[in-house]
Amino acid sequence: MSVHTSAYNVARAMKAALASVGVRKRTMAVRANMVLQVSLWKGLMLITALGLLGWLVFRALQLFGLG
Amino acid sequence: MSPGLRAFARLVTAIAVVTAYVALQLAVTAGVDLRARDRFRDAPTRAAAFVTALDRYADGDVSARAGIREGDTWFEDNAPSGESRSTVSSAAGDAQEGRISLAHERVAGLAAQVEQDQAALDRDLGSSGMVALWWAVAAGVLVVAALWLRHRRRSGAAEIVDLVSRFTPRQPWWRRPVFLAASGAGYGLFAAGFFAVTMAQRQGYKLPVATQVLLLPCGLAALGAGFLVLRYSRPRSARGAAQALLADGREPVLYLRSFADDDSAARVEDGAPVNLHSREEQLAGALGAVGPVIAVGRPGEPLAHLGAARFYLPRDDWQPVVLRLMELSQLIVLRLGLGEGLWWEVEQARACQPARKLVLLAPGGQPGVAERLNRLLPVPSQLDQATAGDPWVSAVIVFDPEWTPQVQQVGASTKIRRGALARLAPTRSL
Repeated sequence: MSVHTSAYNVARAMKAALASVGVRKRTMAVRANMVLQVSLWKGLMLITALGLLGWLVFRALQLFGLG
Repeated sequence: MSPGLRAFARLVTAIAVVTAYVALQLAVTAGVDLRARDRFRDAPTRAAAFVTALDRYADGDVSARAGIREGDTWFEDNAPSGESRSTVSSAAGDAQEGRISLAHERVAGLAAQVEQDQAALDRDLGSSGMVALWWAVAAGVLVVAALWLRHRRRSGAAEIVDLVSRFTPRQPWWRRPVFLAASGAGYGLFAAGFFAVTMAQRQGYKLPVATQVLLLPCGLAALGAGFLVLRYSRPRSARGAAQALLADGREPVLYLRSFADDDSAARVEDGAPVNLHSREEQLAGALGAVGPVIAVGRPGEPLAHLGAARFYLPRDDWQPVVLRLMELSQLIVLRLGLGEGLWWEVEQARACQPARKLVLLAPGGQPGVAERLNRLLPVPSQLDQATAGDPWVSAVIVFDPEWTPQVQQVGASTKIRRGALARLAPTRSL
């Protein structure tokens, strides 16, 4: 879903302008929008990574009889 | 480093991380199998002792019951879930209930069952060890490849990193890790709070009442706490320009603007349900399609603005460094304004750099900008007709190899105006 902030519009205009001189960067506008969600994705990835790491540590502790 | 090689390096690194994680899990599994085999090593002796205790109990020795119980407990704790364990358990139960002959019949094949279980444990250990070994080898190869690609990425950016590092302020070594950890906690709280609130809104009516009552306030509290933590920690954990260049490896995008523009670029706009990110961060994110974005920071600012990675030049000797950075950058994005230093940069970019490298962002509501720009160009830009838009950036201007400006108004359709053609139809698309 596109969120039409000023910066998104600037990114779209920049993408079109660069395309007119032969520089094709298709992901520019998408990237500008993705920045708005980046905190959520970082948080989600962090929670997932910590969960996976915790599972590994728990199993390792069990192996050494500490868990 | 080329974009293709950089994408390949990132893919290899991601696969190496996943492979190393799987290898570690498999190594733990192999360790568990090894412990299980070692614990069961005494099984033949224990089985013989159990059978002897059963014989003694059959001969009327009541004290042998302790041996039977001990054998049963040992097999319960140390035997795999195979035949020997269930045989011992059943035989012990029969003995306890006085069915001695049945117990004897059950343990007749116990030694063979113990051997089978030991063989099964050996097989399990062999296969899990082999699988763990192959994954470890694959992880090792991938980690070496990822490290080599990382070294190549960092050495490719060595010249510009060396230049920028001289102007990156030194900080205590602990500062960034501490604030990164705080940011991590903030991101976790923010995401957990957001999803809790979303779930309370969308699925709340399906949940138990106690969960409904707790989910929304707890989610809002986590969201608010994450927001505050991130607002404090993100500017303090931001990468400097040298770190950003090392981490990316591509030639940078040099973002030049008047320092007075930083406040409007730092504005956080409504858009996403909960937004933390400024205009400049969005702009830097978009330009990330080209390369890492670096910018000269305002001298003396206590905290770097988020978005382009900052370095700090001395007030009296900044021009040679900016000229050198223009040469080393693959794109120069310059937000026009009224500062004299800024117009010196436009003139230098126009005089010394290829036209394809320059992207100008024109603010709205500053007609003097168009006039001044036109004085530097072989063909007028017609920018004055586009300056009534957004005061932050109302138009984007790029140049063809002959420095003919091509103006794209922000928020308009993607139709491109050429300077020469624009004079024939000056008002339709602007």
